[in-house]
Amino acid sequence: MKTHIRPSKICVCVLLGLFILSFMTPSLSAQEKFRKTPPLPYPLPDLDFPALESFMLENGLQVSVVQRKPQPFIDIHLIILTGESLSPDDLPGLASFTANMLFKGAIGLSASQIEEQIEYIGGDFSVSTYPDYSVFSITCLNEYLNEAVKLLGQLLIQADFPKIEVNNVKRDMFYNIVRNTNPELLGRKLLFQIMFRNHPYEKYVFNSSVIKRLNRKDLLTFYDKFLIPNNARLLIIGDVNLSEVTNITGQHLSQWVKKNVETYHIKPPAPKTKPKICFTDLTKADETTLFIGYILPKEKTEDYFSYLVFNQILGGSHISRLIMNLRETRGYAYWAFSGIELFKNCDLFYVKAKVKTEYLYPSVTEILREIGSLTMNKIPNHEIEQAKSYLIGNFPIQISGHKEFSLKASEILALDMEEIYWKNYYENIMYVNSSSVFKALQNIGFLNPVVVIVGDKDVVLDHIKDFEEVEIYDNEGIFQYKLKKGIKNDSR
Amino acid sequence: MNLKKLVIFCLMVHFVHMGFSQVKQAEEQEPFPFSVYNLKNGLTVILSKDNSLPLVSVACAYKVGSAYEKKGKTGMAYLLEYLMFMGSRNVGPMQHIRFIHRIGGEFNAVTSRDRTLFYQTVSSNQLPLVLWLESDRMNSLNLNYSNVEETKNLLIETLKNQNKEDPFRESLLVFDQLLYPDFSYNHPVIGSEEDLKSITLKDVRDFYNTYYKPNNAVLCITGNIHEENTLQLVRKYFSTIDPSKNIPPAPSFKGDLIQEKYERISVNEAISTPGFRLGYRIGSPYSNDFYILSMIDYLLFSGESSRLYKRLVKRNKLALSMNGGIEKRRDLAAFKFFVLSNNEATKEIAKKALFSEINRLKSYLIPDRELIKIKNMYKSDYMENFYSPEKRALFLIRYYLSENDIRDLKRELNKYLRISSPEIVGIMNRYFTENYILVEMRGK
Repeated sequence: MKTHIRPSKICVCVLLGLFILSFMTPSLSAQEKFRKTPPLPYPLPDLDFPALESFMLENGLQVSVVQRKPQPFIDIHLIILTGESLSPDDLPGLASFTANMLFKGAIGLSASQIEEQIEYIGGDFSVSTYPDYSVFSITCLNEYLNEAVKLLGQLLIQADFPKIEVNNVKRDMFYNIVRNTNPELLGRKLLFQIMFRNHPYEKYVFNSSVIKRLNRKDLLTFYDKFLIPNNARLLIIGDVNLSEVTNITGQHLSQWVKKNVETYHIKPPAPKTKPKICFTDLTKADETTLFIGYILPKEKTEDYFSYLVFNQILGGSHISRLIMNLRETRGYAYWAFSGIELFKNCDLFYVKAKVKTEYLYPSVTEILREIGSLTMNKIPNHEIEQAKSYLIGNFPIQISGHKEFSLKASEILALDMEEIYWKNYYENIMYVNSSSVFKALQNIGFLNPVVVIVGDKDVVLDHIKDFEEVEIYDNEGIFQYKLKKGIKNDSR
Repeated sequence: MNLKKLVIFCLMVHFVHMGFSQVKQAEEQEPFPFSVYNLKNGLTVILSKDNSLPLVSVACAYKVGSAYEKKGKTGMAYLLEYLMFMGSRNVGPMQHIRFIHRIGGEFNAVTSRDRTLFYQTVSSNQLPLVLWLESDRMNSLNLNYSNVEETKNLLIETLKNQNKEDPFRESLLVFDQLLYPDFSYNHPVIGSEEDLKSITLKDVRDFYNTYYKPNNAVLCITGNIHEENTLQLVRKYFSTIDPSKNIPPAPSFKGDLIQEKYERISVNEAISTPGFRLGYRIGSPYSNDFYILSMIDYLLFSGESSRLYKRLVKRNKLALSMNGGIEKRRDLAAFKFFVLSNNEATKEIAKKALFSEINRLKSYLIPDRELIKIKNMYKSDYMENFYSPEKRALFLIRYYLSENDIRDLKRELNKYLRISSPEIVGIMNRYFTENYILVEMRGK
């Protein structure tokens, strides 16, 4: 027999039930409709870089100005278009030594007077040397632009590299190398050495043994040859205008003497012909740090944006494939990311990860499998679009500080990337699609990675037996011996 | 009045209007535009427009921190900060982070003694998403037995690692207990293992329902925004969230200066380089003295040409590492010094050198150039505080939640830039007395 309940009773039951439920479980109470699903974004806003205006002093110094209003600071970057790769072959480190010495004295100015003068104008300074260029940066309050450029002029034109500071700078450089027990820095250094073996970029990661050979005489030769206005670019960013900068730079930098500058073309390194696994010991390291590297050719500028999207999908963020696979799914790693280092003639693509030592071999295998799956087939469109959305949203954040903005601008100038970065960043990202990524990745030797492992040898050696052949290096990147299936083999 | 005091007094009279004239002072107007609104449910909303980049920062601060915790329940505020990422009615566990990451945004959260702050920066077209996320966890945080227990265990693990990895943590706890005698201000934000274990689901729900409500919060949105549209969005997502019915008054402890000298030794076998901590209790962070004390902080610690860096690190190489300065804990403030030396002998010399620098500041006026230098350095750091959308949002929240009236912001910087050298000497003599806290740190 069927029992019929009249609709009105159903309604009463349902309402009563809901009424009781609303007291029992507040979380189930009614809510506004808009709370249930994430809202859609507004249309993408424009990313307008302020104009980059340039002029040249008679001595060949190219001056670029970016006017940003209102801004209480001025960022000044002097880019010397010569980096560590042009240090003499027997004196790697000379470019860094010269750069570090520049702020240590000028005629009539000691190192501590220079520090005091920069702090007096509410500023700070830094020096960075890369394989292709060096950057001297001063930041100051708006009202002290003249003083800052005047000081920069004194340092460049009246540099005297005081003998008393030579040993101080060499000591700092020495201890920075020998006291380096950071597994990430050690791993990156060894990766760089192996990737760029016998290439001028190798000089970027010099060893402590070199420091004692660095001397003032060679420094002066390097300074005379490369720290010259027609081998430099000056970038000034702040609430300034072109005519003000023209006056001030003319006043303080026009006496900087132009000289002949030789042009050098550095070829990209030869591609690796076979995979290489390298290990360096870091006693008592808690876990194992991994680097895997490849050279990216710089044939077409548009490829760069395909590389960026590929990097984003693989390991550019906390939601990329590597971290989702190695940490979230398998529990092999604490973290795993990838990145791209930019150079003039090629770029370096790398993966870095901190893994549980017992999962070292499977971690390397998984990373290589992920790279393989992204490069051998076209990447699904939704992943490409997701990566583009991340890159478009994240780029303005990366340059939201004035120092970050100006450092990025100096890198763009030093590497001649104004066109693609300054004018069309968003557009270039938008144009990337599954086919362009696939095409760009076909030129890369993904079959021959360089793998660098940093960890405590007492623990790690048990776990590298699974690799066919491992080269063992000391912390300075000097080859020691080989392990074949975990057994020592002295031949190279 | 003895001769020294007379000389200082005369100099103060003579120089009181000098010394600041050479630093370009800020115009007396807000350093940037902002507006403050209040919703009917008590939520304070601060908006500040800056269109230089297509970005927006959203910061939400709750007026609760470790100082609001009860004895036996320390770590509660920090625990809630973590739980705010564990899901709400319409957002799954950890999905808040995923949503922000997917669009290339960045986020962070921090718990201090008197506030808990959540902030994120995203492309400005994604503002609705962030408000949706932030309002959902204010409206309906998902608190259950398993996520509370899981998060407690995570914090206990973090606490154990802190104790293992930082040999100086123990000395800091001893030091803080002496410097801040009141419970509210002297227990660590992360709490203790025992207390964390004792926190129940009911404790957490009560804490959330009391403090994590619109009438106990400030929402600040900065960057590329249209003010009226933004306000409409905020109303849409936040105005229907119920306020807390009963927010207890904020803890207040207006402590006196230290009345006698305390010296302690803290021994930890993992310490390889001996050192010491020295501390003075100073005036309230909201007194006029505080502006002068901030300049003293810069004089001693800021930059490579600062007095202590030059004396202890560069010239005499007595310290391997050194830092310090003013520390604010709501109504209280202290001036702290931390020095590590190579060995016991250099540590003793470093201590003497430090006291001699303090005494020098108590007896001699600062040269004009040095005063201009520290003011310029201060001005530079102050301006840096609101350069990016994120920094500006945090700056506005910090200022709004202080006892200062936000309408006074336009006069704030000039209060520092007007300070004279004799005022510094006077304040040094008032606060840097023989009544201090000294904790020596040694290995076994």
